[in-house]
Amino acid sequence: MSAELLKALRDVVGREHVLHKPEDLLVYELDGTIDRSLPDAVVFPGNTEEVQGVVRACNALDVPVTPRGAGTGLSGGAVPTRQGVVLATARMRRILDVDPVERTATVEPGVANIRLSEIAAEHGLFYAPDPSSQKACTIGGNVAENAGGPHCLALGVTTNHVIGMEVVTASGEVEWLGSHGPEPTGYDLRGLFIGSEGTLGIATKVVVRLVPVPETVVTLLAIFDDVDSASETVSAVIGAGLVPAALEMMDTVTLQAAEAGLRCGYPPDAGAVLLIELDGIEEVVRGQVTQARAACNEHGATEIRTATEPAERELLWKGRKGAIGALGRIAPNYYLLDGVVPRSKLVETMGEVARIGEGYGFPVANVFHAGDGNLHPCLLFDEREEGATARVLEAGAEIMRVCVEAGGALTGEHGVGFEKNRFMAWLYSEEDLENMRRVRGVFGNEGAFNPCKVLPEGTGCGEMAHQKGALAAAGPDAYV
Amino acid sequence: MSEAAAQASPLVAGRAPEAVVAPASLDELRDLVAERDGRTLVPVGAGTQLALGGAPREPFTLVDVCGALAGEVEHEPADLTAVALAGVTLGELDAQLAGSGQRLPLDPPHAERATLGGVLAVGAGGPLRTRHGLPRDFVLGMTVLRADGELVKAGGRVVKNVTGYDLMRLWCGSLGTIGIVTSVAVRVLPRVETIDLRFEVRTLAEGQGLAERFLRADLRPELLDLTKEDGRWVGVVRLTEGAVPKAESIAEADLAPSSEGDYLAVRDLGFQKEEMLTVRASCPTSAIGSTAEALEALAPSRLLVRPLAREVRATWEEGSLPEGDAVAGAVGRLRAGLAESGGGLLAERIPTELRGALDPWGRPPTFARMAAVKAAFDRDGRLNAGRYVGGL
Repeated sequence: MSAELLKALRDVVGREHVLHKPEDLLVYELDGTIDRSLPDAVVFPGNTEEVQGVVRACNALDVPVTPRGAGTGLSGGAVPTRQGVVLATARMRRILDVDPVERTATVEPGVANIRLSEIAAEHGLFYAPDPSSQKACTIGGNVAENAGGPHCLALGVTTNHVIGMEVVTASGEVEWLGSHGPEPTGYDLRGLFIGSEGTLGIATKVVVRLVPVPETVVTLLAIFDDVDSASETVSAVIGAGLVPAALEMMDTVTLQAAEAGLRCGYPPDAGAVLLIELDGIEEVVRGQVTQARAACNEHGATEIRTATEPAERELLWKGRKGAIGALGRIAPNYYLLDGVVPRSKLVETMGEVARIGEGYGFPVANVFHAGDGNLHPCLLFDEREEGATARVLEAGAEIMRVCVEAGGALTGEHGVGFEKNRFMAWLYSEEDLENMRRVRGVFGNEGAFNPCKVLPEGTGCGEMAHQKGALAAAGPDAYV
Repeated sequence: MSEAAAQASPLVAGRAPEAVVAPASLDELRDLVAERDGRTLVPVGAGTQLALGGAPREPFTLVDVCGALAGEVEHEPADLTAVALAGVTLGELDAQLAGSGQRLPLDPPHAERATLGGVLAVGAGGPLRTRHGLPRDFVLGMTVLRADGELVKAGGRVVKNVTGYDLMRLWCGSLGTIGIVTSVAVRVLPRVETIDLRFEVRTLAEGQGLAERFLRADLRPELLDLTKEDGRWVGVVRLTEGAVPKAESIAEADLAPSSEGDYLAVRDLGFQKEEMLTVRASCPTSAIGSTAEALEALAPSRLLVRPLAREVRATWEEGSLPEGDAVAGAVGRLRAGLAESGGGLLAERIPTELRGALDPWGRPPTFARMAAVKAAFDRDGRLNAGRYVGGL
């Protein structure tokens, strides 16, 4: 790293908030995915002005900037693919305002997702989107990725709950997008920014909508012999006109891992578990629970557990929330995928996923948001085995291809990031992608602001050999 | 045949087009857009919002897209999705969805005859936005005819998707200024049994309080609208059947059955033939009362508050229009007051005599960025030029 850059960064944020020694940089080379790249420096600005100062200093010296929240992302969004500076929001963790009348909270981007519900609780409110990493992941990262979570089926994802934000654009300007509550006039720049994966700018203040805590919540956990029966139950629940708050499924590999690690009391021969959560006023929920139970029984549930108290419900959720972590007990490494298919294609797609896993010799654990067709196959592997990492990426690419060909999408909630940018052509034409390039231009991103993310291009982005292998496995041609 | 084309000379924001054309196919529409003849093209669906915005830059051609964008709806009940061409009316779409016990809960003014594309281009919701949000919240994917004649798409047809930028949100509410919507994938919901109830309260604050209590008690009203009638406020609320007993117990007002007419009256308020001037403020909850008061001072023919959606709408009929100076002054003050919260005030209908006095949109602080968006997608200002915010 140049002395000029180091001095410029220290001038903006202070000497103690710049890391540049290789040993200090190691934890910033990766997020929750497989790809890694070591930055030249990591800076920790403390406020909007400092964020702006860092972005401007980097732009002036033509140094790439990669924003970073908690680093829990699952598509390589926070990996500094072309080195340069990682701009971390870890110091920006202030709660600026909680307004029970407007039902909003205004916070800095480094605030953890779960803090929002904690600060809202005393007003009988909560923040709806709940990514599985919610104890760690930040609201700034959630904005970048348009994060979802198990409870997004009925209430929507981040874009439905973030009303406005102050941003520092890729070009280094400070601007408010959206509002503090009302609907602003003109183009929905807020909606455009959310989910842009940190390529248009970095949010420095975020206004979220808070919603009333449901009066009654009932969680059902139903155990089935196989995934097909559980899937048919999902269709029956939707067919009955219910929109549950959550509708989650786990398959047998996941259940065994969860049982081994968390002791949830799942029968050893269970083929699938379905979690159904219903909320609202008691008078309404009661009837819905009856309907949901009937659907489970009709489709061969071997056991149904019901919980209404928070502690009991927590217990039913334990296996689901800890499932991915528990996979560590049955394999040294896992590669967690995120794909979407029309819900009616779930069973068929899972069959394909299993076939691909078998072909490559990787066991597959499945956890998914069954209600919205968002599947998370998890490929279990051991990176110490020669070539395993490259092969697991190839298998992942094939699975993505299957999702696209089923009429689905490359990502439901993790983002495209670096992981899937080369697959974009399976879904979008050159002109479709051109729209996204134009939007980058509108926010002054000339290629160095979170480079190599979302779009399949950029100099210095294409050197990771195993990614090339993955593309070769699944085919580069446009699927339009 | 849409109404716009059926009328002899439909005015767009008070100005007459030089020509009205109705391409018969998507290819014809595409050729028309790709032609660079310096004319402004004003796309129109059913023509329910032709009064909206500023007058188009001349010379302009009114392009009736209904013929070019008509076709079958692909409904997938098991997936809770539907894909439709933009020329389908919400009425037609609803009839098809109803066959499988589903619905798209969007109810802008004159919903039955408004086209899906038009509703998304305008971006405004109706009473149901209280529970369900704005039209953009239902869009899963879109195909759009760009100003250079390219057909481009974003999103897809699955209910959860973050593959690439959310251009659908940019296109929704852009009034056709950065592309003409040609087809749309939407998320749909199961139909539910609901009941409309009517109540009366003395003051707006009481009505707001009741709305807040309903919300806090988790009754999830689908709509809750308040209108001023003869010095009192009349409310209409839509609840699921199971929620009614609890609503009655916390209402502190009588809840009486309400007719379909009550609902339609609030839905279409401001968009009836005789209503010449209509404004809608989007404000924080804390400013609803003062905003309604400021508008009431101008003696509107009707006044509507949608408290949980933070919306206030006032409308004036021919013969009771306020003075230009008075309305311009009030609108200016309200806009200035709402600026801090990021809210705004939109003049949705303006009679010809007030057009000079009133900017329909006001100027948002992000105007420069919006102008950059327009330039990026319609450099020559061909689509609906002059009609949108700041004349974009």
